[in-house]
Amino acid sequence: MPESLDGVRVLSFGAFVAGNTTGLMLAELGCDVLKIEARARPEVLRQPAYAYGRAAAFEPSGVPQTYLYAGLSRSTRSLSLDCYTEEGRELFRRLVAVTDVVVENFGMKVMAKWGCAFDDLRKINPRLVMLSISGYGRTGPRASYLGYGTNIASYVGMKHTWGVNHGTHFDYTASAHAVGSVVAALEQVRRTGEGVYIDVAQVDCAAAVQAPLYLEAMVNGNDPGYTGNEIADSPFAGVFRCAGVDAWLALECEDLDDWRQLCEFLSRPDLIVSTEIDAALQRPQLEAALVEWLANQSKHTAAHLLQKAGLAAGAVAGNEDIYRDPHLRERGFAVEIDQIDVGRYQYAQSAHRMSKTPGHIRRRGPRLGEHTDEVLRTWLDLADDEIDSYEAAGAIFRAPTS
Amino acid sequence: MGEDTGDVAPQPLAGVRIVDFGGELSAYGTKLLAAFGADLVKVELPSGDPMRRKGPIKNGATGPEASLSFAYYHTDKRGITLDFRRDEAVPVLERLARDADVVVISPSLRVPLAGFDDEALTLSWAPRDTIVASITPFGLTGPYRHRRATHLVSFAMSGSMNKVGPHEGPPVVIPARQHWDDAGSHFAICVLAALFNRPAVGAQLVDLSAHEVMALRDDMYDRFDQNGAAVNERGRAIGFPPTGIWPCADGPLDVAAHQRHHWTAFLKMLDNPDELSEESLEDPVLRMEIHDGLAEIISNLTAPLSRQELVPKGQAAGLPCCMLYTPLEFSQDEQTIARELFVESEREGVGRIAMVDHPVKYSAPLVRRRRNAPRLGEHNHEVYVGELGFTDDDLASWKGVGLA
Repeated sequence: MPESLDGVRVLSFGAFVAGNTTGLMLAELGCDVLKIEARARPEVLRQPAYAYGRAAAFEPSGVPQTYLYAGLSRSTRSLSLDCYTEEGRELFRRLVAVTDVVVENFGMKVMAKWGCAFDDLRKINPRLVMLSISGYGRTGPRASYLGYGTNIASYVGMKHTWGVNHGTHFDYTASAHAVGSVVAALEQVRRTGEGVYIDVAQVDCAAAVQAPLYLEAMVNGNDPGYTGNEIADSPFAGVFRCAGVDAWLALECEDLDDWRQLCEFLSRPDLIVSTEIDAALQRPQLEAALVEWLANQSKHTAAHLLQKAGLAAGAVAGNEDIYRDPHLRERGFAVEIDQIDVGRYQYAQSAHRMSKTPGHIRRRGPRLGEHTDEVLRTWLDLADDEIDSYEAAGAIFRAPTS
Repeated sequence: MGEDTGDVAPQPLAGVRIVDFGGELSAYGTKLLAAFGADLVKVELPSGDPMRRKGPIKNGATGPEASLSFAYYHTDKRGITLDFRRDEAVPVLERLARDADVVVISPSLRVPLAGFDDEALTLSWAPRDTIVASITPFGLTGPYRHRRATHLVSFAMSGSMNKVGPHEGPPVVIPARQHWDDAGSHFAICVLAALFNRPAVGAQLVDLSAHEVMALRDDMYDRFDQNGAAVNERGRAIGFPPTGIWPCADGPLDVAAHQRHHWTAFLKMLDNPDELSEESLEDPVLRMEIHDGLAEIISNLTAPLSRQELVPKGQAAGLPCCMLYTPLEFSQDEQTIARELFVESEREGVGRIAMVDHPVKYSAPLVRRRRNAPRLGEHNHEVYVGELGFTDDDLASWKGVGLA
């Protein structure tokens, strides 16, 4: 099958959710992505704390593994290189000469300390695309700040307006911007021959997808507070309780036509209105009529019937609903992978659906160091004695083959 | 990334023409493509894109240019009008698509697109070498393909809403249009990838489903497969104290202390107060057990202090912490200003307004701000007459029948 980004090579130090999902997406678009982990410093998400209550699992080499990390590293290959050794850094630079993209989301100064900042690496490979992902960006007075997802959500105003901190939300927002930027930069390199450095900050990406909140504050002087489920532009919107345990339905009437449809559906023609002002006045009555009807409906039945009536309505889905979702299943969204050391699990297929070169899961998550030997032989043509000497220096690790 | 100064450094999508028939769902993705230099022609129904009526609206402003959302999501695009739902539009659509590299569509039962066959998934007027890129709430195939969704409904069905909000409910929708903007980012990835590989594989159909973009987050599939799911996961505290929100004299402080050494860093930020000097407090499990009492002590310690002073001190000690800001406070923060995240722009009839700039920084000029969002029908003459060879009489006759 042809791939979207066929032949593009990526060396990725990307860790945690933002870094790993960036590598994963590039791999599923067809790049050959090598996830770099040192044997002495395996990815944090391999720790048993991320096994979510299940017994710790180990690869044959003794490195811990979790279904979470096996999932987040799917479709990539593993190169175990220790850049804390001089030989490891020297080998990394040799690999940079034959790669297209380097990805990192370390603390601010790590790559520079290794002599591997963009200005160092572009001397080795002038066509290099280098991507840094960080919380606050690589410039500015807070560039070196440490931050978890919840910090980012608080800092950018999301916690204030949402009332909740969703831990990893902006990791995903950042990795989507990162991957788009890498593809754009690859095109730019194709056109100009000059490498590109990309500085993706979770904070900045968060601001871009929350722009209306800031514009309201900066232009109109109304600093938004908690917004709940009110949709300012719609006459009727909300999330309402259905029959069942913790069962909810989301419904939105975008205009007065929708409002009329809902009134007719609920057999309440007396609540039909012809102006927005009347709608605001009648809203509590319409909500009461809806809630009364929903009391005897499951969330899925309610969504089904309201959709049949032409309204925008949907069941609030939990993980079980997503897992069973017939629509996702019919589109081939669930893919089972045998993650040898942690078991068989279903994972989500790439959402990048293209008729000729769809994004797709390429392989199970690799064992740490599984592809070290093969990569050094094929990318760099290294012979046995060279590989052995890197191994003796502690610069590389090769996973046992059984 | 400043204003266009006539600098002709190439951009990744310079010379690429994209015609956008999508709506609210395609707006962010095509904004990114426009920022990368594509000639992005946004086609609105003659009544105007629905987003022109959506907030925030500039105080005191009325009419089709007053929406700040429209202004933001359509920066760098040109705008024309056409009633693309009607079959009479097909000859015009054919001409529009003739030189297009990408046609962006978002067909639905409510806003159909003339010439689109939703069984065969073909667009009758698109040339063979044109990428047809669709972004819809559920995708072009599958049992929900004709379902209707707004951002609220889409987010509810995505699996993420269920986890946020008060424990007793209801679950709460994420502010602004974040879920659809994220789908837009992924849509931009697909279009960029399809353009990148077009020399090798030719044009293809992109079928992005916003539902899928969100459903693959937070390892929902594998997490359920491994552990099942609690009926109600909302309202669960994340982590041990001092992880949480603490009052300060100048507003709330947010601390994430997930590792053991973060406790030491937290104490250092507070100058090692006697109240927290007990060695047993180094154990996070114990801190969780005495959560309420400990929270009171910490609150009393932080309440008189300044978070603007505490945060740099905590960070220097290795503590992940920050201010819990309102949107306005964030827009005025020194980091935001240093990163030039917000820019000013002039909008005709509306005046000077703040705008959020493209969020990613590059060492080369991949992104340049070229124009403000188009006024309704602003480029009709330029595109139809100047570029596609129609006449002023054609335009007048379309106007007469409500086509443009």
